[in-house]
Amino acid sequence: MKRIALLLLVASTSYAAAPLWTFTPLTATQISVPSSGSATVQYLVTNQSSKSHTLDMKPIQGISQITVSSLCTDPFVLAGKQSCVLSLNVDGAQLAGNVVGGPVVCEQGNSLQCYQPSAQDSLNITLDPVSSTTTLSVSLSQLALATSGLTRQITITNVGSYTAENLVNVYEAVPPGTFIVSTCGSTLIPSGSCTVSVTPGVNATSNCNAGQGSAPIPAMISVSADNSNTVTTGVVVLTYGCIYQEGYIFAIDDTTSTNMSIGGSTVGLEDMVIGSPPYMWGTFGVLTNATSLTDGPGNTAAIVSAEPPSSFAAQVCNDFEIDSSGITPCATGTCYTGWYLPAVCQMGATGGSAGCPVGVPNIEDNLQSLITGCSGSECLSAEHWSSTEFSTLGAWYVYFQPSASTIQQQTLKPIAYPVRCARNF
Amino acid sequence: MTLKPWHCCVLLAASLFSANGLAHKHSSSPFSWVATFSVGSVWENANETQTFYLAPGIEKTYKAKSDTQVLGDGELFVGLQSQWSPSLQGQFGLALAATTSAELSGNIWDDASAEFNNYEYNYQVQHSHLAAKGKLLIDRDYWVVPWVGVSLGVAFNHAYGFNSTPLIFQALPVPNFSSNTVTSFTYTVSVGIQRMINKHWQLGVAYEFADWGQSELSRAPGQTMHSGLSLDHFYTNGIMFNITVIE
Repeated sequence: MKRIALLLLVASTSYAAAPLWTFTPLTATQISVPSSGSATVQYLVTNQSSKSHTLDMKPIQGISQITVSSLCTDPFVLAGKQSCVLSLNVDGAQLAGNVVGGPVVCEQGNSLQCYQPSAQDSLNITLDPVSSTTTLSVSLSQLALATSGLTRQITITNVGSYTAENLVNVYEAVPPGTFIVSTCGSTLIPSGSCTVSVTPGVNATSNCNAGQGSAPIPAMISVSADNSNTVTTGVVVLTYGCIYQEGYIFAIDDTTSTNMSIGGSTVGLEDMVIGSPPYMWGTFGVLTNATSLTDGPGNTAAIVSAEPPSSFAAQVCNDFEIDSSGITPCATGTCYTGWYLPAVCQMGATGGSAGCPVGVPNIEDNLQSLITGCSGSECLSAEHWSSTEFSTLGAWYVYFQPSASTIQQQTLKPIAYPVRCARNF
Repeated sequence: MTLKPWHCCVLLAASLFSANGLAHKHSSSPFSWVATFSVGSVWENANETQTFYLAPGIEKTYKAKSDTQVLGDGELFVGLQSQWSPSLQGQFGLALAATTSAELSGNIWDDASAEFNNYEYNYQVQHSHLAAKGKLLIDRDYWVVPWVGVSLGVAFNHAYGFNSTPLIFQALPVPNFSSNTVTSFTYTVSVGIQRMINKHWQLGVAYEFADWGQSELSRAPGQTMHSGLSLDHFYTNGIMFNITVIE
């Protein structure tokens, strides 16, 4: 009778095929794990049978089961139609390689009854190779050179633990006549360094000295490797009249160490407008001992020290600050402080009444474009205070006039004149 | 029923009884050697559905595919023929037989439920036996000589080649039952006709029913309960053609 019944039921394909326990992913199952990292993958395991099952996951090297609180224990018992969360910790350091397929969960760990997730829900873990990323560091983020001046260099150092591979130097917007030479090879070992030397030509970057002067757009030197960050240095070749750090360059010191930028002095982009210009020099009868013909910073310090806090010319310069966006007081970017009232021989040239020595870089000699044929608020014209004291009663000022020498003259301290501050870089 | 030591005494007694046929008043003919070589086809549909635990918590149903298969069968019979009466002859001797392998197949239901029909399986059983065989021939000068025969013996049923295949990706391949040979009691019953070619040669055809007896696969790795798939009986029905030479 049983046989007849069986024959009537024809082919076995009329019966359903379904996993005894199912895996529903609760997290991504296709993941990438670095060899130094870890990840968690979770499945909701549901016993589809009405019979209870005691389930155990087949071990996978590098993957362990997290069994805290309400997660599936190890092994775990699921009554009929019951579920629990199988939480797997993937330890990149322990993985033998990629894991494709699984997890396989068996009745009491017995191979006679095992099930796994569907093909698209199975584990697909890619083990990232040992991270050999390294870090490059550069000595300067900005390098300023003088036209026709000394060759200067930046140093790139591998401060990481792995050799930088396929090192690449990229130079952009290099002014014509400027040469760049690199000692960097295609690799850089840890703690190793290489240099990029810049030899300035006769041309200033962006022709920044042309006309009434402009701010140069730096050339960029970038160094990077396949397995490192990119370090970048902005390079500017400067000369008198270029705008640099929110001022017009009137003095250049090319004797600084060639591992650094040039030094120099700038004068403000315009006359001071803070408070109520023009400004008095100081108190009638107060001796400040700010008598240097050439040392503007020293004079300014002496005046500020000798006089009470005030809106005198030197104080105004001393207190001035401007940021790299041109905002004053500083709001963003780099803040440029250390402004001072320039000394008389920083403003006027040799041969004037003040008796300026030869060889002092000055505004008259080096910023004629702001004096002759100039238009706009950046121009220097008429009287401007200097920081050089003449006596208890008076101090030196300079009279800028186009197409003629500046006049260097003294007058009484309480007289108010425009002020153009200066700064050393 | 597997072969027991006391069976041999029954066989011996049967052969003695056959020999006594010589003392019958109508039988004055001496024994004649007879040898019969038979080949034929037999049909079987022996697979049966079984449900059992392979280990605690692991219960499966092996759902048999109902499939009639035809196998080849061959037998060599050597014995003695004697005349019991003018129209009755008896033969008694030993038969050695073997068949081609029967393939048994079906599906596997996890948790013994049709809802989890997750695997297909198949395996083979190959049968050979050595039996004491007796025939009773009715010789009434008909065109053919009808006869009936019975054999009782020991069978070697070799169950092997078990393989299962998952029907869904989620079901993992499972270790197989191991091969095994069972020694079992076997018997055949046949009825046939012979046609004399000449004094010494005959051709014949017979219907034969056989029960191979028991067959059983051994446990799979990891299995701790029950045996592999097993059958208590393996019935075949077939047609055998024979060539007989008689002394």
